Amino acid sequence: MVALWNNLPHLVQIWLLGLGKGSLILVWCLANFAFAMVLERKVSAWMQNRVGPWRSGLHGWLQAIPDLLKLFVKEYIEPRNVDRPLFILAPLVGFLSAVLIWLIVPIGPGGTAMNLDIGIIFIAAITGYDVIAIFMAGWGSNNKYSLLGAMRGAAQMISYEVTLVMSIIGVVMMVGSLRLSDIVEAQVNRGFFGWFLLPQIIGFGVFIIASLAELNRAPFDLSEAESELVSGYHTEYSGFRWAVFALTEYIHLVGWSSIAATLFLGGWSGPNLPQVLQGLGNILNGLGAFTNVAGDAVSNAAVSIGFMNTGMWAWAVGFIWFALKTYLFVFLAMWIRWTLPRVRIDQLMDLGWKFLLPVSLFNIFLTGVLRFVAVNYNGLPVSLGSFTLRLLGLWAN
Amino acid sequence: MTNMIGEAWRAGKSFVTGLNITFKEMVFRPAITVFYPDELDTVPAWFRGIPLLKTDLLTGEYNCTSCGLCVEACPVNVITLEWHQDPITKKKVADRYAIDMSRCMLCNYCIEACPFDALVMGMDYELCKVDPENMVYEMEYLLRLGLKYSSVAQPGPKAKKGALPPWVFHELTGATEEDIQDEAGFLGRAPQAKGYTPVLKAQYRKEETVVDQPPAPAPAKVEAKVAVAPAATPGMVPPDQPPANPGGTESGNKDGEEAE
Ligand code: SF4
Ligand code: SF4
Repeated sequence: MVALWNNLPHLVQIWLLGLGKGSLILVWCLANFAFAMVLERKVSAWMQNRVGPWRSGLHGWLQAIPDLLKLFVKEYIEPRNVDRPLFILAPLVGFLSAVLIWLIVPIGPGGTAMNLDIGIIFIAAITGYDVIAIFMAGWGSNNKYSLLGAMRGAAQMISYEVTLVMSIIGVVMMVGSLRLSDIVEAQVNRGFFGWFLLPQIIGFGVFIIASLAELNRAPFDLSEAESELVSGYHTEYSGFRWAVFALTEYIHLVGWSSIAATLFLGGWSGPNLPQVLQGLGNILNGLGAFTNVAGDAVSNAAVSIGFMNTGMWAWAVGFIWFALKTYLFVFLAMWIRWTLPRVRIDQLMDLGWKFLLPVSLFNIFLTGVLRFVAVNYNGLPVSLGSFTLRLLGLWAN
Repeated sequence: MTNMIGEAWRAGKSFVTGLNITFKEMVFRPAITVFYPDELDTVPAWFRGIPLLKTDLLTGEYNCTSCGLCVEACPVNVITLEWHQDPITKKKVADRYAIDMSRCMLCNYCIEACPFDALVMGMDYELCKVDPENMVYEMEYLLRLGLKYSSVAQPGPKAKKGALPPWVFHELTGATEEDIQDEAGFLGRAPQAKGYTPVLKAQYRKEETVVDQPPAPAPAKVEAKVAVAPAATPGMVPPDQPPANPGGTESGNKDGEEAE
């Protein structure tokens, strides 16, 4: 098998790899859509004391399948005066920009489709296409609600994109690299709980708010505000074209959540089973102070399953951690959506330009100063007798 | 600057409060969903469903005297009433009493207008028909559904002064056709002449006190029966219908009597 692969011409190898990775990413995106969409409906139902989808399979958790099948067979309704090329292309452009995020997200140790060194900037550039998709949909529909929604969406996404990139810069300053896998590695190297969540707490807050706005999710879903603009830029879409917009929304959501998890929660890093057992054994042994049978037994168990630290096992554990952290953010977005009312467009712009942007700039300044001090003076050692406290150690490596 | 920080603090605080509320709702409050076709919800006593005709269980007559007040009261004119006078009993007999449920707006006016407590707002809500052309509910159907709310009619005026009018909290007695106590009583029996003494079925007979102490009505079922009664057969129920199986529903009635 390997010999056969090596004998193939280079071009064929590249194409086959690309096809394989692309299909994997598409399948992964669709699976995430199916899960996130039902999760959204379930979470909203739980918060409103309902049960949500219930009838189709496993208490409603397979609802996405009948939904998509239904949308497949539905009629494509097209208003008479639409700008046809724009109208048809818009959902595809949006879908593409959502799927492309997954190209560079590390979903496990070394598990990226393309380990681009521009990393974050690539994502910011790709999501720029979403603005174009929304505006294409709004303009092409030739409908005032669509156009209003698209205008709002464009204004909102462009202004929040600035803030978003500014909030990421803090993390980039901590690592010194734009590559997402490097960012995860840096968090692993910082040791136990070395996530950028704490040193970059301001950037984290700004990132969460700005990415909600970037995703057009409530409380910032002004471009599809159903109480004002029928459903905004996708008012005129039906059938599977509409479904592609829905796909885009959820794939985007999961994609941004995965980036948030990668930047601030350490991505795929996390203890696996042997490490957990080892830690448990250490605690049972009183950190070596009073070694006893139970602690030793647990430690030995940890050693005996030590093979889980390497190879496929490590990959699987990393993937599980990654999925958990991603869905933590997905849940957070849903939680916020079903809690807060929609903001007004001027409030949105105020928040973006007058509050979040200054705050994220301040965060860059603060990170620079703290990191300069922490790195140059090795975390400001303060000696209290024999005990040395490293002030600002959080910002050092 | 301080204003901005203060506002951000306030916003963050109310944000966390909101999140806290939704989280509590999500985790600690169970769902209130009723899985409708699998389990049926009970409706409150003041539920305004379809207007139904009541029957006097003692004699088997319908309470309606064909006075026509409900027809007058109905704002959308959906009640059809045709009657003639019985030459022997000198009482009005309803030939046709029908409600066009496709236009009835369940406003309760007919019930409020009725001076003889002959109408009741039913608690049934599964009233869909396969054939929407004919939503006119005829007298037999209304009487049959109305049996569940029927009891032995109390003599005298409908409402005592100060008492709750009967249409506010109508009670579900759960009576069936077997609970009609007169031997000749059947569904859709016209009012009898004044002074008519019912001849009770065997299971309702009490040797000493037949006339002056009417037996208690069938005890109300604990659970609200919401299933629709079997579909109305065309035409009235024949008067010679055999009495119910002795030992079924009437055992409960006897218990109720002895407890009195
Ligand atoms: S409930 Fe109202 S609309 Fe319906 S029959 Fe009675 S009076 Fe007419
Ligand atoms: S239902 Fe009542 S109001 Fe209507 S005709 Fe009969 S007795 Fe009169």
